[in-house]
Amino acid sequence: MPKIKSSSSRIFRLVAYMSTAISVAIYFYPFYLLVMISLRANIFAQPPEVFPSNPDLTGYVSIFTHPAFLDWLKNSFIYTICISVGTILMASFTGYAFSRLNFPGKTQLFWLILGLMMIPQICAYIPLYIMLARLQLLNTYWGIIIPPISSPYSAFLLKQSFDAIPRDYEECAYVDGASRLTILFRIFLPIAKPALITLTLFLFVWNWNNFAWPLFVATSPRMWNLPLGVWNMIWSYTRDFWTLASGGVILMAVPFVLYLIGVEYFLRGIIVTGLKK
Amino acid sequence: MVEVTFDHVTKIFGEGEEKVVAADDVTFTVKDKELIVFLGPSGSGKSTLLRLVAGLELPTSGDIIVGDKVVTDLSPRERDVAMVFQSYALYPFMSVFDNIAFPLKLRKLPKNEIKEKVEQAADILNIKRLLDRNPGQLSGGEMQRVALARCIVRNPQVFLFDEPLSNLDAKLRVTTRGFLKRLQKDLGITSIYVTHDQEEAMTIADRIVVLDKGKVQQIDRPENIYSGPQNIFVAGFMGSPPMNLIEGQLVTKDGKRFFDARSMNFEITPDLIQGENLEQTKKITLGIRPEHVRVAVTPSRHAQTFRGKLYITESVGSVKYAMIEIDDVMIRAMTEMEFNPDIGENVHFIFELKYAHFFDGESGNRL
Repeated sequence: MPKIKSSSSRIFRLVAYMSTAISVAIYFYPFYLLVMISLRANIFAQPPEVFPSNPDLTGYVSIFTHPAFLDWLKNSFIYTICISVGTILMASFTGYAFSRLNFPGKTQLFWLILGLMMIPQICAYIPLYIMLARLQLLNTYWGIIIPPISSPYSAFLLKQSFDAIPRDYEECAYVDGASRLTILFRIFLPIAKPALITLTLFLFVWNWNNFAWPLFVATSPRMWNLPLGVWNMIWSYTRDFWTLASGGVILMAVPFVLYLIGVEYFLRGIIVTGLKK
Repeated sequence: MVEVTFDHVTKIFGEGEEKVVAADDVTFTVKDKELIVFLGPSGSGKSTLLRLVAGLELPTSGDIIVGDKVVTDLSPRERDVAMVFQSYALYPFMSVFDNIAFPLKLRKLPKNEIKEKVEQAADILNIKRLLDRNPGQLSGGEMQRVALARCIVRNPQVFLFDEPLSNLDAKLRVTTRGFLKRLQKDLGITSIYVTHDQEEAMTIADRIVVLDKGKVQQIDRPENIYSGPQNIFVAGFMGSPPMNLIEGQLVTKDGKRFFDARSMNFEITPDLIQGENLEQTKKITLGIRPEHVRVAVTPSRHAQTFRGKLYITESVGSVKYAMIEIDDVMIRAMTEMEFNPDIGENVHFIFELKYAHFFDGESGNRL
């Protein structure tokens, strides 16, 4: 009997490993191709090259030497960091309010926020454009940064993780002399660290890759971020696929490094051990 | 000198049909340096009273005075009280040192002063070696000490304890309560302690406040509450095993009063009941502790004996309790370990009436 059991479990393991390997291959193939194209692999040849016969870095060179490259890179970092930090601050306050404060219309407002999550953000672009135009904020950092800071999803995520924090912690902090603000920043956010890190990574990647919003509001190329810049280059030099691919690799690199740093926190999981129940 | 006064404090939760009165016109004073215990079953309002002192709840009406200050409308941070929670509420992401230092950091004390005070508190509670650890690495007893250290480090006006021992195992609970009482006496800080465990209350308290349904039932020293319960609730709640409560009638005949509960009936001499206007009282309850019921296989010749059937005996090691069935009533008597009749056998028992309590069957109050 044990022999049959072990052979069936061996088959199961084999199948599991194989499906994992196939999924990984399917996931990685486009990235592999992207890197190869950026090194000037000719995928239009017959048969297509999966490894470049004469690899060179002209794609990367033409991006790095573009006169506006540093502007785009700077803008990308400014947008990503400001929007992410702003969103987390805003979502912390909103999440705390929905989790712990009592005010009239709380339930209705919360449902409204949930409802907003169902609507694609792009639906708001035209009204926002009009508003920003009237405020004369088009083509400014403020105009690009402020609207995305209101993020129903982030507020919802933090509200849910604040809800899971036992009340004893904050009551203890109250009696010890803490204010609501202190409790939010020194008790709630540290306890909600796993959710916060997930949210940070999510926001970073989302804003780093954001294409449509800056395209909509940044009318001058000097206000563009990196994705827009890369797109602009292929627009002006058609058929330069290696340049586009190099841009893709550069764009990918930053979130990838961030992921490598953050993955440990993902795996570490939630630790709540200060309570004895 | 710090006294805590409840002045006609009422706390009502909810409205309409969901209305719960957690504190009903509560008035008393916790004396300076006293360890007072709020004792009652769950839902008696004991934790609510504690939270009212902490400022975690606001009273519906009435005032709370801590020291010489009316604190009713003050926020918790303005009250200078410290509280130990049942769950200890140690912040999981801070080391033990940072946990204890947290209240001092909030007060923005200089760093070296914080270090000094934390080490002093850790020394008192014998947890100096734990200062670098995280709460997750501590045992229940150690967490409890850290929570205590976080309280004493502030040197507050009042200590509040919310069932601090109920998460410890039975053995540790007994040693810790002695330690806690000694600590409180050494520090001389007015303390309020909430528990549902009457044994814990008896051992630790200077005075006990017995609560039920938001009302104060009795406030007194533990031994007085045990020996002189003011009403049926206190009589039934205090003591383990509980007091025998036997319902009967008060019958007056030829100027003499009698307790009448079918087979059990005897004269109540004037020295047993001090109450007046007993003419209106019809229903009456006799309360007598198991240690004041004497049971034997043969009837006594000296006192009035009643006869019942042995239902079962329970040994707790040092003593044995006999459950005696008489009419439809079960009476518990304390007896020697050697008392060993068969189940269902006839046994005889007497009441030591000088230790008996009589309660009004309607109001439940002591007569």
